Order: sequence, then structure tokens, then C-alpha cells
Amino acid sequence: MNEQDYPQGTKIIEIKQETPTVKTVVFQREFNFKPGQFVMVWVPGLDEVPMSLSSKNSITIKDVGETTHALHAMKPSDKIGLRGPYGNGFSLKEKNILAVGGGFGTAPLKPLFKNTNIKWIIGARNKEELLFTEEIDTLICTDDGSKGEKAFVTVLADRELATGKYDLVISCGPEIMLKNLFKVCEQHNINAEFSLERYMKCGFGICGHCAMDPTGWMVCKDGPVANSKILRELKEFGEYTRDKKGEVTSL
Amino acid sequence: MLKTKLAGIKLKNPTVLCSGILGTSAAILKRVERNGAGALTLKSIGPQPREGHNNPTVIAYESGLLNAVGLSTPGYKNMEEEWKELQDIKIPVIASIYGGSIEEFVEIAEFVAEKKPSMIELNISCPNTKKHGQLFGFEPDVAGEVVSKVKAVSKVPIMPKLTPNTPKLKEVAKACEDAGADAIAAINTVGPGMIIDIETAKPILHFKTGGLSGPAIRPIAVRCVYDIYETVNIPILGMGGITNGKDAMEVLMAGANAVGIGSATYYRGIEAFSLVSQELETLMKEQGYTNIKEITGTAHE
Repeated sequence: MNEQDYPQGTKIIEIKQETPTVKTVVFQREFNFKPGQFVMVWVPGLDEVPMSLSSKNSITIKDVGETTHALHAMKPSDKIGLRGPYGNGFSLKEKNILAVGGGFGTAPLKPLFKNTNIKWIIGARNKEELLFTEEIDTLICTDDGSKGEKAFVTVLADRELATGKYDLVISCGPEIMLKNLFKVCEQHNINAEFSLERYMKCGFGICGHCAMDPTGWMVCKDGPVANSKILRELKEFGEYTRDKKGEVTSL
Repeated sequence: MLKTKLAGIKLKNPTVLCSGILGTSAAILKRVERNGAGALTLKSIGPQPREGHNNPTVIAYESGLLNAVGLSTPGYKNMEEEWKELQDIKIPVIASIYGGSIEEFVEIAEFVAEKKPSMIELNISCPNTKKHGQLFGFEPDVAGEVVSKVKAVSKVPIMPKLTPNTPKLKEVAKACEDAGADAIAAINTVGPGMIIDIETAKPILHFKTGGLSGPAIRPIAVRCVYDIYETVNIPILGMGGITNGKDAMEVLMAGANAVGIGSATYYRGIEAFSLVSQELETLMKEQGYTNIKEITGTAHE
């Protein structure tokens, strides 16, 4: 429960083009939040979607659907509605952390750029889609080798973890990538905290739409960050999701 | 002490998960079972796959919740996996259904009854779509017809869920009983209402209007249950804004045999079921009640 659980209009103050498909929308309202928490972003007349905060007053989004497309088309002084913050965020109890950002999955990790206990791996399909790599000292990889190493983030993570220097891996990115990264973490016996995504309606734990099988772990309220113990239990992780109707569809 | 019965179905305690809250998959229903619910109601199942409305569909305001989910459903024919998973649940499971016509109610009820839920709830009271909703619950003759036709194809007990938004509530309840209803659930959400964002000057819910639930509507729920109890002899599942043991006792006193828990999960989390049960038990001891039956309808004496 927040003080106010309905969206409140706020003015957009800046829109930054980060990559050819990713923009950061900076708004007037500021949130007191924990990295990994999300807000529900309302585009009046269209839809409302969950988005992780990339700072106290911004979201960083890829143009993937109708709502994100509308957000990409907005200009400063346009208004959107926001409610939140929701969810648990990263716990960050461990001291030696490896952070892995895949594609625009780097966005929810951005609030941790100042954390000096973290070593970074950022990957993308190609050099144009690399997000925030100019803002931080990071290992870089791309699928096509156009910048950094030509490899998946899992390969770099495997190599880093082999050094034995880490006790936590945090990540956000496409779920298939997370699933593979989780295998690497398990092989190295290192705890993981991954940010997950599911279709949501309420965002505060009552509609049940984002509950995952078989435990009924709710992405909105129990998550969106799941640790290794939770990830081991979630049989749908990396496998399937439920659409707007509630019907199961493979990822 | 907390045991009760609803149309012959035994409940270990009177808290029943309301339809539309946390009822989307077997996994989350099992979690509600682990958290102490006496029975579970599935999210209303409809004739065809339906996405429902765009978000915002569920919001909370100062004194309650407002929702217009719009009856999203995979459709009754696309739930085989969930039915299979639901078999592991030990407490009674109530299947809620809705239709756009009486024929659809009958078609779904016939199919769903074969899955052997403990009861079928007829959602004739949803205020949030243009065609599938509370229209069936506004008029006594229409409500009665839905009940009698469904009753004819179902061996499972039938419980229509009534809307408080009709001036003919008592007549609707009576018509349902006369048509063979085994129990009555009351109330569905109130209104509909609307909330406008003053920054954008736009109604917040995508459907613009939505049904009210939560503490704001509890007095309406209490009055409706009271009126229905005066009118019919079948058991009542009372719901509407019950968030603690005191609220539960109030609705039992108005005439309910069991109580629905819905919006309370917003205020108190999924633990609401065991919390309400514990609080009710404490109150019963304090006031000298030894079972739920003794409380039901005491406000009428």
C-alpha cells in the first residue's frame, strides 16, 4: 500500500534518445525508491504498464509495443500518470557483486552505477543498442562483435565468476538470457537476484495476474526481484508467461 | 468454532476468497489456501477468450478500490491445465461464471459442473462491461430465468452473485430462491464510480467507470445482506469491504453464513484470511458465541 495507489499526472521535462530503440523519459515527479523497484506508467486514453525506475525521476524504455511507442512519441511538457513505487528492489546484502545488463535490461540497474562494490557486464545485440556503456566502467559484449567481445553476457559472466571474487549476481534482461545466466550462477554456486517481468493489472498484489507457477509468487509484490531460492522454485521462469486473458503462452 | 456451512458445503472457517481477487491461476489459489481461506472462488470464467480492458483496471483511492478489469478470461474451454492443478486443493472451490446471454450461462455451467467444483457462482452482477454484466441481476424475472435454466443442467449447487445496484434487490433474491438457487452471494461492486486525474483531466480507469469495493462499501453490503436475509431462507455468502474480524461478525449478524474476503488482501496482504479468522474467533470468545450459526442473523432479533 502506498499513500496513493492511483496514477497522478506529471509533466515530462526531458526525453533523451539513448539508442536507436531506447529513450529515457524524465519527469517532474520524484520517487523515493530502492533500485529495482518499478512504477505503473499511465498513458491517458491508452494503457498503463509497469516500468522500472532508471533514476528517481525517469524510466528508460524500448519501443516494443503500442504504449512504449506512444511514450517514445511524447515531448517535454506532455503529461503521463505515475503511481508507485512498487515491488521489493534488489536486496544487495552481499559485498562483491557482479551486475549483468542485457539490452535495455540495463535500465533498472542504472541507479546502482554509483555503487563501488559492483563489477559490470553490459551486453546488447550490436554496438548501437549498448545502453549506458559511456557512463560507467564496464565489460562490454555484443552478439555481432561490433563492440567489445563477440559473445553473450553469459560467457563473460562465467569467466568472471570463475575468479571466485563474487558472492552475488544481479541482472535484468530478456528472460531467456536470465535463464541461461542463472544456470551459470548455479554452476558456480553463487546467489542471484534477477528482475522479472509479467503482465500486470493492479501492481499491488490483489489481481493475481502476475503470479508465477507453481508457488503463486507475485512479480508485482513479492518481486520483481527474485533470488536464487525463488528462481529454483519457479517452473515457468524462462519457459512461459500468461497473456492479458490469463492464458499460458510460451516465451 | 469457526466451522460453517454454505448450501451443504462444509467450510473450516467462514472466509471465502471473492471472485476476481487472486483467482487467476491454480498456483495463486493454492497460495490463498495455504494462507487459511475457508473456500476459494475462481475468477469469473466466460464463454470466449477475452482480454478485458486496457489498464488502468484496478486502482485504490482513499477509502476503497475501483476496478474495471472487464471480465478477462481464457474462456471455459481453455483451462484444462488449471482444472487439473485445482484437483490438489483440499478446501471447497467455487467456480464463478458469466455469460452474454442466458444460453451462454447454461453452456458454461454444464461444462464447468463436470469439473466438479463445490459450487457454481453465477456472476449476474458485474458492472464493468457493456454486455455481460449486471443486466442479468437487475430484474427479478431475468435473474430467476438464469438460475432455473442453469439449475436444470447442473448437479452442483448454484449461487447467484447479486448486485447492490438494483432497487429490486429483495425481489431479485426471492426470484433466485424460487428458481432453485442453493445460496446467494452478495454483494458485487457498487456504482459504478469514476475518478478523474486533475492534471490530465482524464478519467483514470481505461473503461472510465468501475465498481467500488473495500471499506467504503461495507455499510451497503451490510444493508443488502440484512435485506436478503429478511427475504429468503437459503444461505448467504456476505461480502463487501470486510477487512477484519469485527467486519466479518457484522456481516454474519446481518444474516450471512460465510464471508467473502477480497479487497482486504490489498489492506492486509494475502494473510487477510487467517487474520480475519483469528480476530473473529477472539471476538466470538469475548462475546460468548460458540459457533458461526449462533451469530448469523442476530441483528434481526
